[in-house]
Amino acid sequence: MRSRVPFIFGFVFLLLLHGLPSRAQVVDCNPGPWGELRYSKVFLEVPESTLQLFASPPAATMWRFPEYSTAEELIEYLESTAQSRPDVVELFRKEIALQELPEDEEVRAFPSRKAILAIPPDILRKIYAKLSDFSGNRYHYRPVFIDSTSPREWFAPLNLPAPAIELIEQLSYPVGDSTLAFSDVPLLFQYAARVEEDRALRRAVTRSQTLVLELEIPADANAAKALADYWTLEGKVKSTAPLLESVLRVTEPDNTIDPSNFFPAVPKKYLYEFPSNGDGLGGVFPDSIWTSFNFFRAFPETPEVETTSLTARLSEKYESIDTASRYGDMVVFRNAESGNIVHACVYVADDIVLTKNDRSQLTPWVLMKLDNVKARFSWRGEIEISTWRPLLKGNAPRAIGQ
Amino acid sequence: MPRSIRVYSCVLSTLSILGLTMLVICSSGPAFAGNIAKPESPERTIDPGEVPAFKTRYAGRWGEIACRELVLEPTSDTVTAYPEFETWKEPVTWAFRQSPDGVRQLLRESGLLEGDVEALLATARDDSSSGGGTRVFPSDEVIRHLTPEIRALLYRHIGQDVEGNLFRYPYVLWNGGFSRMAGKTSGLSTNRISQIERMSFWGKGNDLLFSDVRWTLQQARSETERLGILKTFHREMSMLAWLDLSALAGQSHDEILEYWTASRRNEKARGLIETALENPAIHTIELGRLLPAKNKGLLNTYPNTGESIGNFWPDCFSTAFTFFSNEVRSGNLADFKKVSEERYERAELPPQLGDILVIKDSDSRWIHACNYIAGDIMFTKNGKSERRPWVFQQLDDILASYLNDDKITAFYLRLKPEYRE
Repeated sequence: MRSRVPFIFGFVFLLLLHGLPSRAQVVDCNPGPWGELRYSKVFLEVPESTLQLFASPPAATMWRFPEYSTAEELIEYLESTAQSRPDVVELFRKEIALQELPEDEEVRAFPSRKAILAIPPDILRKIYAKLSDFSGNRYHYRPVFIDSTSPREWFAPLNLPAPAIELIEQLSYPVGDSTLAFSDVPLLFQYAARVEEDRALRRAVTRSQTLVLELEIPADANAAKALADYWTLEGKVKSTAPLLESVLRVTEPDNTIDPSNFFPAVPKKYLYEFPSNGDGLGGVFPDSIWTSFNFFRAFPETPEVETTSLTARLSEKYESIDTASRYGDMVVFRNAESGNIVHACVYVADDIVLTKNDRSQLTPWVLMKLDNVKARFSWRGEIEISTWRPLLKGNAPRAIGQ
Repeated sequence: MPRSIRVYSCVLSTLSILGLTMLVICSSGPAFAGNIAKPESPERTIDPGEVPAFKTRYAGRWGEIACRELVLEPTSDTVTAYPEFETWKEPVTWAFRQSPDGVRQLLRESGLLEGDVEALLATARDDSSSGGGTRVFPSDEVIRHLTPEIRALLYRHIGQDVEGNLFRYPYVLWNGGFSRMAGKTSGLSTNRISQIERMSFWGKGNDLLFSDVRWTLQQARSETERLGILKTFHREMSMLAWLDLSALAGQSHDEILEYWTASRRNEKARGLIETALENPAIHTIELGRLLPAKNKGLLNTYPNTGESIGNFWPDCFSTAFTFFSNEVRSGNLADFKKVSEERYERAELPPQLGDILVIKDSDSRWIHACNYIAGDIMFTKNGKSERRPWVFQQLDDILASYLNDDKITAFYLRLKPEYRE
């Protein structure tokens, strides 16, 4: 195990300085059957060719309210959020233009920059919560998530213009203990006066953070056996075993490996990747459900939009467990009100999961802390989380790989 | 290792033909042994009897790569399902097409002493009248003491009509022999390793072969040893490799990014490298992570049963010609030759990421293809067997393992600019 002493001092210093962990740190995971595991954080950036497929954000901010059909209804709603504050009501009246679309049974609001910046944060959050119910409000439905309490640190490597960072700091809102969301992307792009600035902002709002793992390979035979048992599910994940056994035979010092090398075929192929055009040739791009149900499959199914049979599939191929604690367990998120599955991810080790946070080609397969995933799916409304263990039969190679 | 039998050194020289590059590998004297040069070098010399030095670092257009040797072997579960393991108790049988008289002649021509010939024929079962040839049951003594020269001459005539027969389809050992395969981690005794070394023999070309698998398994003292023997025979060289970000000082990041993005065919590498460089805690990126997703998934794994079509498994050609594709496409050699004519062109050195090295034998038959990664590192699937994994290997190890003819040639193919895969 390499010495972490300098790092620990550095870490404490950074904590004192910023009050939060440094982006540059390597973090030791809690001890467990997964072995001596640590992680660092790295960003994944959308390939340029994919990014070019997506249009720049509109110049003006637009809020869409499909539940209202007249401007009066919308005004009534907006004013109800103002909590009898005349200054806010005045702001709404002067700085938000309204447009009725009777044919579409929708009312649209166009708040000025001044309005967005002046609306008190608690009121703005109420409005954004409502906007997030409708997928047509692109950046409220899927905001830019910042898995940090400091946007300044999150975006630091990109050298964004200082006013852009200040804007994000002002308008981002918490969606969990350590995650922020930012929805005012059109406003942000007003700082993209030049091509380079536009590119930097595109990178900023589309990059995703992933954890990169590093596993210490123990020299002790018993510890090595325990490690092999964990990462192969006691020999059931056969495709993993040759590499793992090979690494365990290495006797050189400083023997470490990224344990995602031990993942079965599907997650091994897709981790850290963005979906390619080929992944969507069947008409639907892979999502979290597809990723989770195909984790142990040697050959993945074709992605489909599936909403009805998921519970039946869970009951058939998984058993319900109290908590995810073993590599390969599935964590399922349901909307508490409807009972619909809204997300699923696969437990890897400690509090780390493999997740594909939506179908978009802009969303890669990543490793994340479970709490950060929860934040993404719980801020809109109450969710229920259940955990499931795959029923892998003894040495059932056909069920899980080779 | 029976080095006295046959020692080859081979010169790999670079010829320029109409501005394109072809590598010619042919027999040569031993004076060149040990002089192994980089792929860019106009000349390189390989001695198949020698073990190429394992290079732990490669610096170049790709940045700096650090490597560590890795030896893959199948699991015990896999090996116990091999026919060799299931049938090890059965008597060692030499099945010949010929009648007993024909066998007598073969045995004599192979160099066996007259007494041994007659002793062997005394065990013969003559099924030649029913078209079954002649079966001979050699004693332990005969098997143990055959010289490598006799094995080389005799074994090629055994089991011609028996599918999967290890005399007809012997194990091909690594350049450096069984002792190299065993290393220090096989768990086999030095006596057993030496015995296998003594019973190895050279094939028609420069292949180092082993056929007496059943007999060797019968000599094993335990199930564990039997498993160890089979697992060691099925070992495959590979390596773990990393792009060393801490060693990039002074080198243009643009040059490195240009290399790994491969003319925008591997764009994701840009994001990975750029963002890793942002984080001082990230010192290395595993090379596998920089490969197109399909190869990343395959690296250091064995073919899955679902990847076969009957007995046809993904091979070197289906792997090499789909380097930038999302999945391995099945196909036969003719299909991929067609693909090569349409989409590929001969490449000038130095090779680029994903370029295909095609190896041809003296009859111009394509015998292998693999992809260039960086330095001397290739991504390769050796053979179409499900027993061979996808690995990173040093170019010299691959060349040596396919140096099975008096003269072979190799050349690089590169995707034409208008094709992405």
